[in-house]
Amino acid sequence: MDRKRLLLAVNAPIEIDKLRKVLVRAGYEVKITSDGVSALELARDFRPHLILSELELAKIDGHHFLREIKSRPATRSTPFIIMSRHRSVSERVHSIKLGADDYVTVPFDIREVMVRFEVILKEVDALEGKSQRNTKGFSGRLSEMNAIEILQTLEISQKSGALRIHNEEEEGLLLVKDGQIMQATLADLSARDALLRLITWDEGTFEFEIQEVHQPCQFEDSTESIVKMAMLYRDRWDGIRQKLPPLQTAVTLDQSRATGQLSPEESQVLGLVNGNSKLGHLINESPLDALKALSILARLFRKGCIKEIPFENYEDGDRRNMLNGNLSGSSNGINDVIIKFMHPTGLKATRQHARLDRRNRPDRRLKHRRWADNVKHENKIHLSRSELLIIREKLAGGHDGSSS
Amino acid sequence: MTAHPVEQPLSLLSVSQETPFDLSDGVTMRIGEIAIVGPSQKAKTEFIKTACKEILVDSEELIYGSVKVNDQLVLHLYGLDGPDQETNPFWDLVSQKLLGYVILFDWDDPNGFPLVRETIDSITGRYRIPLVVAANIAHLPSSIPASFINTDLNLAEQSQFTFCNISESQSVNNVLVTLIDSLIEKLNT
Repeated sequence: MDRKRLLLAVNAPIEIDKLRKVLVRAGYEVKITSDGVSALELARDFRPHLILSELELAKIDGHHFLREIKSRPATRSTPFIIMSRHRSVSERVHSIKLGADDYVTVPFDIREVMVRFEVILKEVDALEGKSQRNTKGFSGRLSEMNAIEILQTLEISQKSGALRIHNEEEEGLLLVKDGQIMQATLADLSARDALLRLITWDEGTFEFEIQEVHQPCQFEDSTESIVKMAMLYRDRWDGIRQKLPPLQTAVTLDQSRATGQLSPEESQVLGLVNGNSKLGHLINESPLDALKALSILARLFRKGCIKEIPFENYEDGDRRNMLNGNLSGSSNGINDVIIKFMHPTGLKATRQHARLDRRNRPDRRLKHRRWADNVKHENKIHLSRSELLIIREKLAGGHDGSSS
Repeated sequence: MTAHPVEQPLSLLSVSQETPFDLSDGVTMRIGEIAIVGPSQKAKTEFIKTACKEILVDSEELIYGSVKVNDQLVLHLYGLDGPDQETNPFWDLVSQKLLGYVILFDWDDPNGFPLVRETIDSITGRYRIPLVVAANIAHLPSSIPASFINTDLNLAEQSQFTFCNISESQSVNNVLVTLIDSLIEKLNT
């Protein structure tokens, strides 16, 4: 039988060393981190059976960590125990409300904590035993196994259940019965279009949950035929996509080129370009089949009717004029610096260029642009005004070299 | 008996067997965290070293130092590559915890400039968080007019631009003071 895996996220690992040793001796596999970010990574990769987290973690606190764990399908059922130095009832209530399964106040008795772990894990085992039929399945990342590969696997193994595929913006659902695709759902697309869109996703996660499927079949063809068709579609999609920037790239109309002879379909797609449109959104908005829309966008791009809105534009005349104006009379050394900014050279030889090159990879830019679209997060200031003033005074008043 | 503050230890320190298991119920130390991001690892390291006098972690992924303000207050400085799209959801959480960002770049490194702009866009496009863009002029004359770069970088409302000499303690502290001033101003409004 596999050893139970425990993740301990505590801001002072040295302080729970004794607990760690006791747990290891008791047969648990234990990972410890004091950083909320790596705790999230460990929760994903280590797949603990139970998480004990302190509220006061580095980078992100225990409540954020808890919220993240409980919001993710893969980890939401993992028992989560909050550990804190605070003894207030409101703190406990808040933690429980957020989904914590238990609350431990430090300092604690190791025997008591051990018993709590055992009780919770036994409860989980019992629950899993009862609902085993409903919780069986598998999950993973699309980068490791895409939708086509998953469908092939399900077909071979003749499984029944619900396959949920998520990317950062949408969630699609495929219902499979005895390995046959029954239904596909994504936004308001038809079953066929939903399936074809889902198989083009490279990024995101999936979960397959084994369950009985009673819904009627929306497809006339066998899964084998559908998969073959999907593979062809995917090949064509990839081929055309290579001719375009990442789908999250914002494009704009080039009025001077957009007045030439265009087919009705090209005009239709071009009509959707509104100032600052993203390629992916244009495909979604187009009434045409996604592959067709993608193909038309590639043509429009090649003809120069639409163009990418650049991240940087070193040749921007206004900027150059402004820089030159501001720099009149400055030293040659500074001018040299400015010239270098305006005309970067020798980039390929540098580490920075390697990093800049990454920007041209679809993933990075795709996500980058998506970020820019998201709602801004208002930042809470975690220190009081007086604390900030004390820090300011310390910094402004000179540094005595004390460091921790 | 006076309760001693329990300082939050460095997150990446390995488990030590020397510290006893006695968890004090003393006062938890208050921590302000600032991310120093930018294309130059060397510049970030020197910035944090100058601010903290000692680097506690210096790896490719993280540079870490800490300034003890007083017995209850400490400032943690993290040198990072900046918002990394591969760790997208984590950055949302990390940013919530931060006091602000210092985006540091070498003024004489033209190759870093586009990346700086990208980092600024990433942060300001996503978070309403105080931000100081600091151009390191450790090896350059300091008479560079700052006004144009402010415009060129198209800095968002919450951002400020400043030059600094990362090898000089007061200059580095001034960058942090600029950030702290932004926070105080934000609290005042």
